[in-house]
Amino acid sequence: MDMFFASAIEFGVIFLFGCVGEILTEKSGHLNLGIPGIMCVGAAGGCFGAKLCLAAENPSGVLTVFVAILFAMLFACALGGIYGVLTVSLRCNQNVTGLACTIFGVGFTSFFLNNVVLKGDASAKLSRAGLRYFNAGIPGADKLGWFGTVFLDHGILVYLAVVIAILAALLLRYTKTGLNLRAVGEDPAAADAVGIKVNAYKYAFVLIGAAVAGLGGLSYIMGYMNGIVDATVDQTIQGIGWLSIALVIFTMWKPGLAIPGSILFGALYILSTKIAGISFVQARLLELIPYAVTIVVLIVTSIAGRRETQPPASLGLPYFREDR
Amino acid sequence: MGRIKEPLIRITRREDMPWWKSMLIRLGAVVAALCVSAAFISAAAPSSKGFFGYFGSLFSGTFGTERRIWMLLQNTALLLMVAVALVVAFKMRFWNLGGNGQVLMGCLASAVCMFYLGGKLPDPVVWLLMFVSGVLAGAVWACIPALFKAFFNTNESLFTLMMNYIAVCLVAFFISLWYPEGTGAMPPLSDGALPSFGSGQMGRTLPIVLVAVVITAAIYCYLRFHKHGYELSVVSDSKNTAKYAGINVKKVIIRTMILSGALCGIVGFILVGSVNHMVSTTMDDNMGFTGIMVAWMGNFNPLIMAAVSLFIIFLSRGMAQVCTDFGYTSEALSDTVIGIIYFFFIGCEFFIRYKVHINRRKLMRIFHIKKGGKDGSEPEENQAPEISEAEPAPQEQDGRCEPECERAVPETKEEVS
Amino acid sequence: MDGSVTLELKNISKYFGSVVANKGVDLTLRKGEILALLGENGSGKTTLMNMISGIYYPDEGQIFVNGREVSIASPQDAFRYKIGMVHQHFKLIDLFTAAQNIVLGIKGRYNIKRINEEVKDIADRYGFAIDPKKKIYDMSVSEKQTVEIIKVLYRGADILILDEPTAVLTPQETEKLFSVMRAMKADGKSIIIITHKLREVMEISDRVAVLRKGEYIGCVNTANTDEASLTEMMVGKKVELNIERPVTQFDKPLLEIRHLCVKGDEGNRATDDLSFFIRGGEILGVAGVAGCGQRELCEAIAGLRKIESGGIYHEGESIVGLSPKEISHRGISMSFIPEDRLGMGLAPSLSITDNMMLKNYQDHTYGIKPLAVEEGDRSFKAKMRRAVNKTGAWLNRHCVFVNRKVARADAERVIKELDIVTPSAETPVRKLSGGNVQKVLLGREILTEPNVLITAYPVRGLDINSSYLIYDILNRQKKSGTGILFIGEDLDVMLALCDKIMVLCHGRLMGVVHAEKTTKEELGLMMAGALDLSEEKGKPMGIAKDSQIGEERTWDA
Repeated sequence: MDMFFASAIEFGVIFLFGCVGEILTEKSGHLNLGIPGIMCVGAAGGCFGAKLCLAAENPSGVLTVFVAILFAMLFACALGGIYGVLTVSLRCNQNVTGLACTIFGVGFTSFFLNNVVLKGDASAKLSRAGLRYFNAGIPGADKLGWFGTVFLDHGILVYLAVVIAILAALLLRYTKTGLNLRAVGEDPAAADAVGIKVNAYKYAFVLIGAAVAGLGGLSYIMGYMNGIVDATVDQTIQGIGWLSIALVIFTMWKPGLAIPGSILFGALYILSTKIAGISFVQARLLELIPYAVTIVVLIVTSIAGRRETQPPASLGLPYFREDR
Repeated sequence: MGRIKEPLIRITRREDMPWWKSMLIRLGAVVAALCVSAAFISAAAPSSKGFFGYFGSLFSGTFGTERRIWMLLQNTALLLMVAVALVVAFKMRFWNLGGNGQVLMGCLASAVCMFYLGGKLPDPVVWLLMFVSGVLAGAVWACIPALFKAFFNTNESLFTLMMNYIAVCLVAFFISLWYPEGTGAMPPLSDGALPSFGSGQMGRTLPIVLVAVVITAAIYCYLRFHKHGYELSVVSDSKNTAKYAGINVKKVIIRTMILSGALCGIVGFILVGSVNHMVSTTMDDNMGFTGIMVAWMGNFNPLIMAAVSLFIIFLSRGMAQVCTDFGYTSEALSDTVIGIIYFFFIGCEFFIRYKVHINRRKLMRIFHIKKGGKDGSEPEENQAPEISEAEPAPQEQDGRCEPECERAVPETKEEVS
Repeated sequence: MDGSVTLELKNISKYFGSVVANKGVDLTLRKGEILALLGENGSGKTTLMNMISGIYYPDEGQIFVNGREVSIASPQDAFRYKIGMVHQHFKLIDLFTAAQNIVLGIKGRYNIKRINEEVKDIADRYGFAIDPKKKIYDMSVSEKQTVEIIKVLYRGADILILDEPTAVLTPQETEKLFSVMRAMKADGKSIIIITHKLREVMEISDRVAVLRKGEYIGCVNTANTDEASLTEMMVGKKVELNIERPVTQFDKPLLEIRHLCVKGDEGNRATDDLSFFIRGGEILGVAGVAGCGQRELCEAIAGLRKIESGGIYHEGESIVGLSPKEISHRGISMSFIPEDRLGMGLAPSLSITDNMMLKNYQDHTYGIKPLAVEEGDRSFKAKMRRAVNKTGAWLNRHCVFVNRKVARADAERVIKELDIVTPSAETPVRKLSGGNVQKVLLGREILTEPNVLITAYPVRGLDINSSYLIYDILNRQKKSGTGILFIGEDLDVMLALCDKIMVLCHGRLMGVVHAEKTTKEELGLMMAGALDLSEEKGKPMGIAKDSQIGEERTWDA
């Protein structure tokens, strides 16, 4: 049971990265349906970065993790940047652009992993690094019984996710930047009229959101999968990405609430693989639980809609100052 | 006196553009995207055949043999049908991202009929049941989100997305139920397959193309001339106005989505009955998403959509050949290249809807500083590269809006600074 | 007033595509004065001011602040030069508190407690009343305006631009605003007030600058001018400012509302126990500040909104519970021009033709004409012909296609009769100018020959000439015996046009008064809820003397 909760947390942080990334993006008024693609690209970039480090004679663990995180964020930002240019500067339809990003990101990841990252003996090295560097728990965790197993025996990415979520919550709640960001997402014309640089904020948070989401892809491969890259990794991350976007509605655009929400979804997602004694056929049906729960959540939130739980008012709408 | 800051680039909304001009911009975007992808792929490939070899492989991959041509037409027809189905929903501004799931449910329902009834009932009866159940399944899958959208205004895009995954899970469930020992794949069924007209690939493709043409034409007439089509466009424009005119908005939403889903279901029926004779979790081939792009890029116009479908299928089939010729190991290359095309295509809309003015005086000042004060009496030279860095498409457009640019920056300003 | 020039515009021009918004405008603003910027809607006042406040960037011309040439490319630039604008549509974030809105975008530490105190300080200095912790969505229109003005003052603006600040206020609130403006002027601030209400210009301003069709006409001292000459400057020709009020034979009540209660969108009670009636051949005005139940009332009558309790009777029959279509078939037509001017009643992206058939597309047929057949003919041929006719009629009834030919003919008729400026009948309504959009809407409503015409804000945002054309259309309908419910904004217009005026305050009826016998002040007090005439002389004012028409009908039958 302890192991189940530990796995749930480990899987939940993938959602957490995606969800917090999407919240930050949506707060600036941009519905980024490209998040699944961006998470994929983040995974590809992270693996690529790790591979570069592991090619050395005596790879350093800290450096590998650091470079992997950096590359994941860079790759994710690149795709986020394309989304940003198209939707912020060129004011294209956000849904369509996001979908294009997802199609591109998923395809690119599969292509890039197979043709660049996994060439040579990289996959063995990656899986070793995944276990040793990315999943190194806090020393002494195993001595603390169930508490250690559930909360302390995780890799760096798990704690990074929680820290980012808390930082995002503080940013939105207590800082001037957060206030300005919320203003941009609610009513860009009003924000513009008081001198907030609307497009700068939009770009900044589309990119930050993409970078955070990109870490989600990395934490799936290097964290949850222990560095094992299987053939359907792009499809799996895509599914997780869509769930992350749906999770944003569930958490009512609050990064703080995203932490328990993500862990709950993590638990639902791994349910089919962790319950002992069910048949192969039954497992297929359990797999649809997270999606079904998401639909129920969507319905419930839409029926019980309150003002505070609504999306940012200008979500999805392009802003052009000279529009009359 | 302080230096006056002026914006270098200003953007204004454009009046209507003649259709041929907007088509040229779009065409330019596609050509630019193709060149960009060709350059990248030929430069980075393990065994490159060069920039032009790329195009050669593309064409031989799609048109190399007669069978390939028929496959191209068949996939184009299927994609066009999905795109047309989605157009019905988009015309109502209903973001139906569930095309994949609706197609897949159509597949599943047809396959269920085939699996349980094939060989037990006379073939025509099985075909009829497959068709009916496929259409119904697609319609139901689209109807569920529509119901909640109509009554509770539930976010339809995420709802339909989740329905995609539930459909995938259901297909996986049935396959593992039927073949518990298998690897999750299903062998083709022999009983209940639709007949083929004539021999080879052509016999299968021709009826599919015919169906696609008929459906596209019918839907076009439905949207343009039918009272339902009119109601739909009013609902999409303003729900308040629709209510005020006595249109039952909820009914229109549900009815339209049922139609959209049913059309996807037909595609599913064809995929199982005629093309594959079995079902798999990836049988939708992501046509739901691609269809959205086709609908969007084709401006909801059936003729352009047909052309766009053809182009995209051409790319994805040709790219398989490029992969083998250039020494890549994955077919996902086509998604990458098509993604690049999408980006350019989506981006070029901006230049159709907005006009970019460049402050020539300021540009010249920057130019002067760089070139050391050469007399810039011909500013046209400096202008083109500034935009083309951002987006290759507008080059031709930029040339045409010359008179407006002229007016936007008056001579009087030349003396300031 | 030391008379030094703080703001000067020279030769400012701005184009939107082929539309000229401003052309060669010059303007000077002195320190410590109130300058009124007068012009009809569409004359480019707001565009001009938006260029000063950094929303738009001028295509030509120069701006000087305190004698130095400046370039204002963004609102930040405007604040740097101490220019602040209060927009007509408030630029406030609904979810934020007043204080959060006020400090939004200002650099520096975010200490909400200190900000609250500073806001209170400013409010006290100029005589505002404000609660910094109140959320915007809980505020009334005049409170929101106060927040906007404080927002500008908090940024230390010396030049304030107020865009049509009085449009949303009651007369009493307007008075209060003016006293605040005078306090600011005494403090050395310069104010530009945009308006098209002449009376306010005369009352508050020191000088008046007039724009017409984007061009600068001139600037005069308020003391040396009068309303008539200002109008002439504004319109370009002498205009008869009198609105006609034809006398008609009043008919029986056509539409009667009894004890109507309707819920608003937020669950509040939008109309509260409302009773009144409309006779054929009269115009009943509805006055009230924005958002006090007008919209809900219209929607309830048109069948778009469920009513909580009460009754609506048309020609003696209850129409409660009928569908919008049935109600419109009975001859009740409703047109509501919302603030964005496109909303209810029109589909903006569709063409004029498509909008014309909005109400009757259901009746479109294949146009199958019946064959000629004689009454008593019993031959086989006649029987066949009758059968064919029957089938034809059935087909016509169940026609699945719309008939754009009919609609196009309607559209062309309306375009011709109401003088609508449009490239063709196939032009999307969105692309027409405001006045023409409203004409399309009214034209379609009149096309159906209604007997009750409910029209809300039909002249919203129209220039004087178009407004008078609309008044003309309404008067023509009135003379032909239609009962008209006119929901308006401008009390002066309503006093001149309507026969009776009904005043609403927060959804409650404050009384129905005869337009000839009342004054603007009385209406203002009623709008503010300070004067209640509804229970005067012990009888409810709203109910018609010859009421109980519902029963009257049953006697006839």
